Amino acid sequence: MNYEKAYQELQDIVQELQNGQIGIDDLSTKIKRAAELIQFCKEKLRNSETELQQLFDE
Amino acid sequence: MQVYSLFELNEYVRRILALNLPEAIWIECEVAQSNESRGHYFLSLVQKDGEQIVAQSEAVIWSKTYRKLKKQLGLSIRALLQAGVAIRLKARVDYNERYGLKLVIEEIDPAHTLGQLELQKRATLQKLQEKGLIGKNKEVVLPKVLQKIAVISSERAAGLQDFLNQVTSNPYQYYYDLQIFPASMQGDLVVKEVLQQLKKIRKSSKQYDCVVIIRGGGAKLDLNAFDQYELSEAIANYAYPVLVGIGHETDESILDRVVHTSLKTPTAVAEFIINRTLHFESEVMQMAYFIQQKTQQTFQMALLRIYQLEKQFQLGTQQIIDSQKQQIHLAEKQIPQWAKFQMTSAQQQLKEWEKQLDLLSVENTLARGYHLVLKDGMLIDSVKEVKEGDQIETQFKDGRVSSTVNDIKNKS
Repeated sequence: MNYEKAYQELQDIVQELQNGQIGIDDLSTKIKRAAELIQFCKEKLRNSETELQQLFDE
Repeated sequence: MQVYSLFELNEYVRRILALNLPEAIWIECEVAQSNESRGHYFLSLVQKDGEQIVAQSEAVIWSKTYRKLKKQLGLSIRALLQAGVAIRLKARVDYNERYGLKLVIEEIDPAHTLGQLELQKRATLQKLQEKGLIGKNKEVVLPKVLQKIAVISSERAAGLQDFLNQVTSNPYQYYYDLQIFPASMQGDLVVKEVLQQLKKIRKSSKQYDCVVIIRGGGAKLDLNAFDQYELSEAIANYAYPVLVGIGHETDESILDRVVHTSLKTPTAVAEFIINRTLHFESEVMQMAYFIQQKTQQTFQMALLRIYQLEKQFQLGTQQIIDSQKQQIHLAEKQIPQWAKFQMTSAQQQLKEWEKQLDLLSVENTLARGYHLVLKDGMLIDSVKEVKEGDQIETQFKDGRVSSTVNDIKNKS
């Protein structure tokens, strides 16, 4: 994962939501994914690679 | 045959020169070499015809003059005295019997050099344009987040420390991986060293998001290196996006035209990098907000639909009630009719019953031969109601008989 990919995936989710393509049943899966991506970005922005590695090893 | 001593000859030459060139004169030439010693600057001046040197003279700027010129020209003087610079200077022709001819420089006209540089710059720019190199580095995609940064700068450059401080201690706690690749930022070695470091960065196994070239403020002429074709070409063709902040406010160097993003100062580069990250993060947060809102909306919509269904159901119930009501209403209308009907039939029934009652009436009973016994006008039906001597009446169908009781016999 990297910023560009995370961004793109988030944008796809936004797009799908905008077009009303996500049914209520898929919604929670998508939200969970979005939360993961957002978390990834926020953490990567503030941590060095090694710190990140530790973060994901835990 | 007259023979002169060497000194006599040289003294003669000195006199001729002093007589014909009594004052300092303006000369145009190129600096071939420049050395400083104890505050004095010793220059080698040349004139070229193509690559061929057609004239050469040694020159000097005495420390006293240098200090005066430095005051007058500022930092530009160092740039003016670099090898390869076209220069216009005012010099006195000095001839020493022992040391020979030397030009003693008294003044320098920076405008000439700038003009020459400007011409060179234009030629370089045109060449770059012809080769399609202007704006080429701009086409390299600049990542949304510039986190791994290769910094080319001089460790002595004024702007470097500011840049590093600003980036690392940003208020948003963003992490940046900065690696410094040292190179001269002024003087003759700029082009060579920057090119070396660019090569080194590209060959590194580490991937960078961008390359930053920075230096603090400096003289306009010091930027000469950044107008060189070779460096510009390398940067234009570079694999990573290149950001520069080489500390000049007014004049644009060629470097500014070939890099991805040109900023005025190292501080501005630091701001650009931090703001880009900030922009990225705020975009992500906006998407997060949108997703949250939309999700909430979707759930609300679902709830609304459930509510609507519920309402429809209620409406259905209402309909049942309404139809019941209608039936009642109908019944209400029908009841009088029904009642009337019932009344009529009841009346008929009554008549029937009357008929039957009629058959059972006293008169008819009497007519069939029965009779009634009355005492004091009241009907009696038991012997116990009378005693001997009582007056009783007997009703026949055609009249009444009065009699006195004289014997009572109970049915045993």
